[in-house]
Amino acid sequence: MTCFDIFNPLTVFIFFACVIVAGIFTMNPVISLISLAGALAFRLALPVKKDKKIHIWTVLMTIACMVFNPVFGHIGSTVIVVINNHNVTVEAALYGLFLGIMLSGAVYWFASFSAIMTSDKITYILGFVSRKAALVVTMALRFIPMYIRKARQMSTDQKALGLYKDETIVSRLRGTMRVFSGLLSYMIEKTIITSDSMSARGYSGRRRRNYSLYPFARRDALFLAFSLVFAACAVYATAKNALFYNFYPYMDKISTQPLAMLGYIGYGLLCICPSVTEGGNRLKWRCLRSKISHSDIRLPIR
Amino acid sequence: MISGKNEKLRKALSVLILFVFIPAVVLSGVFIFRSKNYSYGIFAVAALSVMLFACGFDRRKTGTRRLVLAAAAVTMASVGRAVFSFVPGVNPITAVTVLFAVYLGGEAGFMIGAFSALISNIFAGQGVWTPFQMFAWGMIGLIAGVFSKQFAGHTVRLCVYTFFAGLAYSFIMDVWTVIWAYNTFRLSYYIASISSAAPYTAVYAVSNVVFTALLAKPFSEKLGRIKIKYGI
Repeated sequence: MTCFDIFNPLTVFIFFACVIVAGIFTMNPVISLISLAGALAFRLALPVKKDKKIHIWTVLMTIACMVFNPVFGHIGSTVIVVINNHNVTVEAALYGLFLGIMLSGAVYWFASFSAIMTSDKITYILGFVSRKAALVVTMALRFIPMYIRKARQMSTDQKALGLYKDETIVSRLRGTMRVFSGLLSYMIEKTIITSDSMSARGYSGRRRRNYSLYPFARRDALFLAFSLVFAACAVYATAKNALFYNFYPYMDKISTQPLAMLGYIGYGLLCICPSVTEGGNRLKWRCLRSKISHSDIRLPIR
Repeated sequence: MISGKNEKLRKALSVLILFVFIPAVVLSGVFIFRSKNYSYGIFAVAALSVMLFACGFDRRKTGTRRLVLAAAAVTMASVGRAVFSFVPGVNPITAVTVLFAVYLGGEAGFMIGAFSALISNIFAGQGVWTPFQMFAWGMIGLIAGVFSKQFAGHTVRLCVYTFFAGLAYSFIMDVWTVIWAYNTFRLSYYIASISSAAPYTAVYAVSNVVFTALLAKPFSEKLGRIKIKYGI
């Protein structure tokens, strides 16, 4: 369990929106590196099961960007080789590299987002946009395990009836289609029954309210305020063109003017925000744990 | 929350969102992220148009049966994607969306496509592409629903439509890839992107046809039976 499970999902969603939007739409090498570093730090801080394959993906993606960008784009001034009258340039390769870093950062942020934003939280956020849509998604999420169970039952039933599936593809496909066809009938009938009983319980009545388990607490206000202020710094610097970075035809020097520094620091603080929250929370848990060990407890002598 | 008790406030808010909030988000972003203005613009438009559709769906009176059937369709599509996830480029979302959209109409079709993308991405992985997938599949469903009279009961037409829908889906996603990476639309990048995805596109378009051809018949049979049984 992460400490973000008790936060209001809207807070968490707005934070991720800030980080990702500011990160991927500002093409600046420093911002891309900060985004990647922050995403990796947060990934380390999150106490959830992590998929190791993601690293292979991001590395491959970065390499692919670095290779393909100079092959297909020929602008830039420092030529490495000329192939078929096309210049392969250093600038294009470096653009590819930073593009890859930016994309990798986004991939890691999204991996953390998926780990935190479980389906119930997505439904909660959807409820703000449209309650009907939220209802459809909630029902679909409830139907998924139900239909999978039913499909297994049907498959077993068919085996018991003597309708065996062979190992050949055609036979397997036909068997799957038999199950699917049965499932479709079951599903449609079930739909009618469900909707009729919903109507009977007053679903189509006029007034409807949604209920949720997530209060908007002080911690949410604090976290939201921090992330909005830091994001505003980064967006302000971007809007004032301080973070603008040119790769072509020559690469710019990294800007160190005050406004650019404001952008870097703001975005850096934004990226480190969740790791600090998560890490701090776990530290607090460690500190508050009882120091009395079992051996210290003496039973009263009778 | 916002969706409070006051019906008038709710209506005012929805108008405000449509005419003030969405243009403001798109325009301000385009001016702020100048070096990435095109990619930001199309990202915002895709995400917000999905939102807009959801709002419209909320205001329209949809029968309970239709609503629950839409949920069941989303389930079918998402489970199908999970089942076939071992074959790259194959998923039945387009086929299921189109078949249900023809029966349920354009708006429900959009919702089925869009939410199948959202829910199956909970298992397959969310990303920057989620709003685009929602938009692309939603549009496929919407168009199928709009032309439902032409499609209903014509398996061949449906197969042709899903074939081209599969191609269109890949092409839309490639437009996004190119604009996101380079912030311009250059034909050479687009061709490179399309050609690198060509095997997937081909597999996807053909598998759509196979799914549609296999599902169309049981589908119309079952729905016809239910129509007689419950008198819908």
